[in-house]
Amino acid sequence: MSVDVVWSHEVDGYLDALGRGDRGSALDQVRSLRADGHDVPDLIRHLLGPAQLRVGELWVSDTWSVAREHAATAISESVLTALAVEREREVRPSADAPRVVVSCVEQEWHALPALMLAEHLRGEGYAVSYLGANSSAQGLVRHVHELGPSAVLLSCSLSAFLPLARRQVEAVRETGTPVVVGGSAFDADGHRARVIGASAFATTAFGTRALLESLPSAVPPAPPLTHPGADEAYTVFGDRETLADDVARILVRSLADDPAGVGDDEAWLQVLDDQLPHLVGSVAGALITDDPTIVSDALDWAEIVLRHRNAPAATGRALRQALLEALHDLPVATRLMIGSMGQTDRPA
Amino acid sequence: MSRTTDPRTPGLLEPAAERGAQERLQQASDRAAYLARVSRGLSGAMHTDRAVDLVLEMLVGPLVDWAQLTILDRREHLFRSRSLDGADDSARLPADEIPPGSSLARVLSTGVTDLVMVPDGADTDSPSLVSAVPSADLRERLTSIRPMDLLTIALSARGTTYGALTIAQRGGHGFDAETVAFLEDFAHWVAVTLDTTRALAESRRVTAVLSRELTPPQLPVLTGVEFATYYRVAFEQEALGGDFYDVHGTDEDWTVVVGDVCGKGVEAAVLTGKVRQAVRTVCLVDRDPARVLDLANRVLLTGSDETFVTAICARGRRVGDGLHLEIAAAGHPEPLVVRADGSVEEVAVGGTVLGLLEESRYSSVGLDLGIGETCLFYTDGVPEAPGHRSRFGDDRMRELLEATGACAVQAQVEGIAMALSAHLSDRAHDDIAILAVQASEVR
Repeated sequence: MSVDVVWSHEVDGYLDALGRGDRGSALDQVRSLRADGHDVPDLIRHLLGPAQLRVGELWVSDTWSVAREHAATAISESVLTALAVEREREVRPSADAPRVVVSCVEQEWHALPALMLAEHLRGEGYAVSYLGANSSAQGLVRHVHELGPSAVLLSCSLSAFLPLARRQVEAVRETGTPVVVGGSAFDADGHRARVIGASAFATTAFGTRALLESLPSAVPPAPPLTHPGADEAYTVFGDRETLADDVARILVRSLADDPAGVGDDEAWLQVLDDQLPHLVGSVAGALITDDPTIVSDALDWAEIVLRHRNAPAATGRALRQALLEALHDLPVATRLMIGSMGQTDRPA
Repeated sequence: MSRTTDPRTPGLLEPAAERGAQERLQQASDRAAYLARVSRGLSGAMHTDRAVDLVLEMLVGPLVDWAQLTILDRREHLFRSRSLDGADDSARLPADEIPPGSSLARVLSTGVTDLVMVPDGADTDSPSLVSAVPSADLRERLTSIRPMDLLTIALSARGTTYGALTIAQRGGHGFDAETVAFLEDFAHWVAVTLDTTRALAESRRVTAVLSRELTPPQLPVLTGVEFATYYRVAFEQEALGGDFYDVHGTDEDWTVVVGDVCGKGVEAAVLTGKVRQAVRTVCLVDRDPARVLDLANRVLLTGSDETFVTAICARGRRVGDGLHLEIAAAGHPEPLVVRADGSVEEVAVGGTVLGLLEESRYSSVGLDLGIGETCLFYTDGVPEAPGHRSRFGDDRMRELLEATGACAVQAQVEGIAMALSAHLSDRAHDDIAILAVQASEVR
């Protein structure tokens, strides 16, 4: 039996430790909850997961710096890893436990969702090989060849990395292994997952077991993508750093013409500089999944982030125009940008 | 997304002998297309279990109603079967439990296809079924489809028969000579692919054992100190690199070494193993880092490897509430220290690279770390990492550490690792290693 706790209080306390960069207190709190009978999946669901959402919000609202956000995330990861090591000493998966590989998409740095999923599945009796963040496509396939898992679970948080998710789905299916995708880069209806050729789509960690049991034991290679924009996606993705430079230049030029200018506080320009490759990447994500809402969502989100950092009011509109201009050589991407604009902003 | 099974290809297995030329031509072309699909589907499968499942998936449904694959694995026979309803069964039996005169044993010893006729109303233990399917668990589902013939074809490659494919059709359907020839064709394609996966598994096992010694080790848990690391190799496909780190010792007295062998990939990794072993051996006698590097230098000079190694070696001991480090370096980037107030400083320590000069001598500098203070060692793959506009640079590391300030060592290392990964994108890079040491409270 577990001791009743008020989770919202626990989250506040845990978040406080994260904010101070205090791994020791965070770990002590989690260990004591575990000693009170709350298992790891419970802690992920009620404490680490909700705390991580708050960390993201605190960064968006400019309450926490990016360094503080990264530090908080790293501490949650290391707390979860410490729990995993402790649990592994207590329970080993049985010899005939089904094996799965959990990995982040290449270049993806948001390891926490995948780590939470890995720990959840270990709790469900799976033998889990967790490859962590930033695993390469080659590394993933090598592990699949070595382990022969019954499935690969691929986590993708940033829509900018969806073209890489597609590449990894192709690579995994090439080995005959079913691949399940999940993470905030995907939509709740599973449209994007279907388009990139995933064998299944996991909305949350909690129904994953039933989903894994329903998978075929082997799958054929992924059929090629034929929708318009699938090729452009890789052009945009490959050039995203250069395109981001173009967008920044066009944006600053157009704001200089604006009476309000770029504003006195230029902190937002630094954030924009960090975020632009991801914004351009989201166009690639929209192209590869044939889902234009990715771009509008990414732009709306960027506007909120920039507004909290005192960017001029015209930035959102100027950003859309700059993206449109930077992508003018690519017909499908151009159509997509025009689609994401309000009626009044559309070019005649 | 639900399971998709191809609708059965019509006429692929039906006897075509008595049909017209047009139909026979069509069937021949359909069969060729089917084999091409199988070949494409199997081309990327390099794990035997996965390939076995793929073969059954492509065979049962589109072509036949039930199939069993037998694979010899040292002294055991592994069986996996699949039936039309998509259910899989597995079994393993010791080799000596396969009756010598049985259909399966004959195929495995002669490599020649064998057909067993099943009498009407045969039950699970009927001798004809046992003869081709020795595992009772697998016969259960087979009996329910009431097969007429059981066809067993050898899987042979590299001059040996290493397995067999047994197939059956639902009630009343058997196999004519032309069908058997087509299925033998199919089995031949499958045999070569499956054998490749077996050959790969053998060499993979050897590689895994050898490379275990050459990949970064799990760090020990020591009282009063926390470690955090980051490691990335230049050649992802080899998964081995020329950068290395190691930590060993006791709570009271331990050694950390971080280094970089000139070169990349497997060749460099082999030398990292040598250096790490040399350091471990010397430390059994003397942990003084200057002595350790002196001797490691001499070990390298006696070897035939004409390459250099940069390394930094630190001895850590608990002093009062914190740690005292003695650090010696051999041509290695200077470590960075994050103080309790969040300021960042460099530790000035230098020396000649290892494996270059007989007369190289090393000396150490001292460093005190209070609780929560960090010393971060890294290889030049970090500042040298190429980016869109410039290299990552030493300044960037300092800025990142200043921005993160004094906090958990895992967060400090992860901050650099994240920025580094965004900076690199998918550009080619050198091997990268970071190892950070933080003085922590004794709990």
